Amino acid sequence: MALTEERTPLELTTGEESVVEKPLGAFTRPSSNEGWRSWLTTVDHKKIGILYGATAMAFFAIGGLEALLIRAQLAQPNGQVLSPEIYNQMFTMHGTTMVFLVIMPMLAAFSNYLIPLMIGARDVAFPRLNAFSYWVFLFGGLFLYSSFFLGGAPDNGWFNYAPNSGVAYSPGHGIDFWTLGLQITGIASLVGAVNLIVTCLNMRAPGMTLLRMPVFVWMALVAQFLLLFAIPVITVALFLLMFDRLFGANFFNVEAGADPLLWQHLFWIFGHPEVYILILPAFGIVSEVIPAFARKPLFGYPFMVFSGIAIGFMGWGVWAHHMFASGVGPVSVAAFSLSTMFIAVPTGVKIFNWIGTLWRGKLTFTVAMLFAVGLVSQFTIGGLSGVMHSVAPHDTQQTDTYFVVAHFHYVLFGGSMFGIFSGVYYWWPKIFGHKLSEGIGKLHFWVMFAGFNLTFAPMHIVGLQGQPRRTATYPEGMGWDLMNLLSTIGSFLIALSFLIWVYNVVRSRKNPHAGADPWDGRTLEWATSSPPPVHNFDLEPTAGHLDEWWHQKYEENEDGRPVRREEFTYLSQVDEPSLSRGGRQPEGVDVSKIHLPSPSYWPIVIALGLPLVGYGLLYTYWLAALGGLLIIGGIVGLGLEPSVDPEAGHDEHDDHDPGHEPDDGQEAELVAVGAGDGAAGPDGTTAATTTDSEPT
Amino acid sequence: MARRSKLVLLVLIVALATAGCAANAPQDSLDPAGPFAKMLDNLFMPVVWVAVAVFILVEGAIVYFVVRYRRRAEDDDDELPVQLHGSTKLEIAWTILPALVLGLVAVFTIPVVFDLNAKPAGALEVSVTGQKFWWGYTYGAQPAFGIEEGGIVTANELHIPAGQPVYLTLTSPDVIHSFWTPRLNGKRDVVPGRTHTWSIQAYEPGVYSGQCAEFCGTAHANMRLKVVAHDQGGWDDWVRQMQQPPIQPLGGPAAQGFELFTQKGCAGCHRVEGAFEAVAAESPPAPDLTHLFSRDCFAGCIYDLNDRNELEAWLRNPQRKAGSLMVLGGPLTEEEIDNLSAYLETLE
Repeated sequence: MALTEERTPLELTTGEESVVEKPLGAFTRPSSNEGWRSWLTTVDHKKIGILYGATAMAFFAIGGLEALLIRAQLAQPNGQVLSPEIYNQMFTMHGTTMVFLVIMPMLAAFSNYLIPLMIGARDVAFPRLNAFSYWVFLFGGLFLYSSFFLGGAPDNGWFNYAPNSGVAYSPGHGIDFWTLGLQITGIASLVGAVNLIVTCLNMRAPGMTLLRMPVFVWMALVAQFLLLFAIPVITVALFLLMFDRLFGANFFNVEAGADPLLWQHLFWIFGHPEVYILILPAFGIVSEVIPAFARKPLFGYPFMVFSGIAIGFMGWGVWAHHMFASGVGPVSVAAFSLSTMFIAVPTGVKIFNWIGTLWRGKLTFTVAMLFAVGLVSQFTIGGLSGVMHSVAPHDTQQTDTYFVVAHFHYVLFGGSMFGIFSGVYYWWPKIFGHKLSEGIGKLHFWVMFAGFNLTFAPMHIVGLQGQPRRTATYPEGMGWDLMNLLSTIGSFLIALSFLIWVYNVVRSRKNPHAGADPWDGRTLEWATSSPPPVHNFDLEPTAGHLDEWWHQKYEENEDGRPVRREEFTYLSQVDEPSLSRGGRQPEGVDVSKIHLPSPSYWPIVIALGLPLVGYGLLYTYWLAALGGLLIIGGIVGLGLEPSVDPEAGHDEHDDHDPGHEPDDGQEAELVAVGAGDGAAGPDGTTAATTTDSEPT
Repeated sequence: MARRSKLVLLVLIVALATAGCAANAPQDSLDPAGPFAKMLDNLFMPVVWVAVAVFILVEGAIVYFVVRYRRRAEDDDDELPVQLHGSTKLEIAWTILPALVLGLVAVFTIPVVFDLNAKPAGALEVSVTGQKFWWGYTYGAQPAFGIEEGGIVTANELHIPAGQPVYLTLTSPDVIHSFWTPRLNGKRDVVPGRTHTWSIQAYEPGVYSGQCAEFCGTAHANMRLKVVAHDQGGWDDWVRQMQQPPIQPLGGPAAQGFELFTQKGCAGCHRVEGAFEAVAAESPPAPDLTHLFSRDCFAGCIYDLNDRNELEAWLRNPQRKAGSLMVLGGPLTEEEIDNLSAYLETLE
């Protein structure tokens, strides 16, 4: 970047001597990687991943609490636990929270933490933007939730159909908080998508061709492309609704000639790809976990990759199956019925290939593996009920009933959340250095498995027996009482299982150090220490194979059977016990030559401006102006700030030399480990070079 | 352990499913009571059985492999299984086979999409308005069904002749609702600014329960409806009754109630044919009360009209149905409630 090349920042062009005055207090550039304050300014993808994960789990607890209130209300006919007004807020916020504030950020957490490690990079492509994404997500979520204290939460369902979303029918500010809050979190998703796409495409270790990328990275990449194209669609819809509500526009005003189906089309053109955004990374997680514990490679890697891509494309052509009862006409219904049937094909391929991975494996049932197999078996049920929806004429019996509620919970809870928990147990030792307790974890799994199925299996039945969703109450004598009671009991079991998990997290802090590679992993993140050093790898990784790390550890003997090598090298200094099963420490590495971008205040400052603009639009424009100033000032600050602090000293590893600033024409925040398809040694061995080099 | 728990669970689910289906459920879509619902059911059940077969195949394979290939205590951890990378033949097979099965499902599905949309011949036609939070029905003159000039206007309870198709024209003056009587057909959204059509038919006389199926606001759960299917005699009686305007009460509490109907603002929203015609017959903002007591339920079909206490409680506080849009012109005394109720009871 022009501002940082060749000269120190703000150097006077006249050549006069400048007196460097260090700014005071908060205006000093943050430099520490330790302490709580470092979490506010961090640009490290690992810390940001942890922030995403912790925040999403907190929202999971809140969204779960809302679900419990819903289930308490519906435990019996004519329930009196909640008023209809509160009930409607609960199901709206439950859906919105679980989709936008739990599963999406949870998958962002995994993508953030794992993609750079799995592709052998130092960080994501734009670390400060990454921090920005997280803070925007957090403030967007808090903004949305502040509606509870400012006159009531949104109450029109997570798909918020027009015209009930208009001022005439929803006069409070609830819908405004929804509209603005989701625009804010949308910025986080969009920026994150760009960041991770660039990371996957440009930052892979030498030798890691696209078809050597771990499946998780592939699925996350497809999901990021879906985000890249889907978020703008909902943003348009939200923007139009915002103009209707705040400035009297008529996009969804029927009296002025609008067609309410416009909203439905826009929402579902986003909404259906969104479903795949929520599930594909979870597919990626179990595609890593199952091979690790079957101790054999993923069955049909290319089919898994291409079926994921196929789902990504076909996911754009099925949106109107949410509208089979909306009156879109028989030709549309027929077309979307067909496309919906056939998207089951690539999805089925995935299930069969996971089963193929189990076949003739040597299966170890760790908690991660249990959750992964849980995903496969439960997602199958969700997939089969999905095929039933594709029978469009009968979908008019299913849509907007508990049958659909059962279906998407089997997909998003039985699928995505089980995948997420699988990943949590699998990568926990990598992230925190110790395993979660397996015993407590198994209890967690079985209680959650039982609770989940007890909650959602009966919903298939009551749905087909005619119980519509989004109803705050139901009368006696409809034949729904028993099933609803069971669902409620199941939901409390799910809550119990979550508490068991929380207990496991707290209790496991004292677990012994797990070592660098506790599961005999296959991918590069297991080649570095647990937790990884701030620069991820001491040695520059290269990849000659899919499952590179496994190939470093194993070779074939004369019979073609895999045997463990005597000699292989970890990519970072690992603790001594990790070496008990072979492997040696990297040697001759001067990690002080590795420099990373410095922490920065600006991401959080810019992000803080967005909810201020939101409150400003609702209450007083002065607040919006203040928010705007923060955003613009923050962007200017970020732009002027060199990505690596020339004052250095922020990190004992950093011996930054101002004359060595990368200038490759893009936002070169980072000295990449390696860019793109550089050559790897033919045998896939790791070159012990330091990384103080320009990106190629 | 894994296997046994799963097996127990499976048995439990099947047992519960059976128990659930055996229960008496008046809105059961699995219990079709007319040709349209039957058409959907005929399409659905084979797909369910295919799904059950796939379910057993997939879950069976999972359970079998989990048991068969699990690591055993005596295993040597250094001995790895064969590093199988896949099988192109198998993978192509399990791409094409499901596609063929789905293609077969499609062949049966697509024609029904178009059949459902067609207007049945010789159908009774009814205009339906879904609105916050009740259903209005207008029958135009149809001599074939005994309905003369002037037609019939009613609410919440839709009366139809059994054994004959009924063609509904659906509109909404406010937000989206969805008309659904599961035993007679699937649902069709009622969208403001659009006119949708939908057909229902009952094989037998009877009462068929339904409700609004698209979230429409606070009282969405209480926007219910009934379809009453009559045999020929019952239908003729009903049509006759509905075409006789009510007689204005001349004395007693009912006459006082008649006066109150204007004084308390009821007539501003409710129509009574021949007596209170301030609102248009085709699009009243509140249910037409001309033949109120020809019905069994009121207020979105959630209260029993045959129970006088329910009606009085409603007049005392229409907000007992949260979200109700009914506004009283000031609170009513108990005497006024008695008089109004007495008047309403004359509207047969």
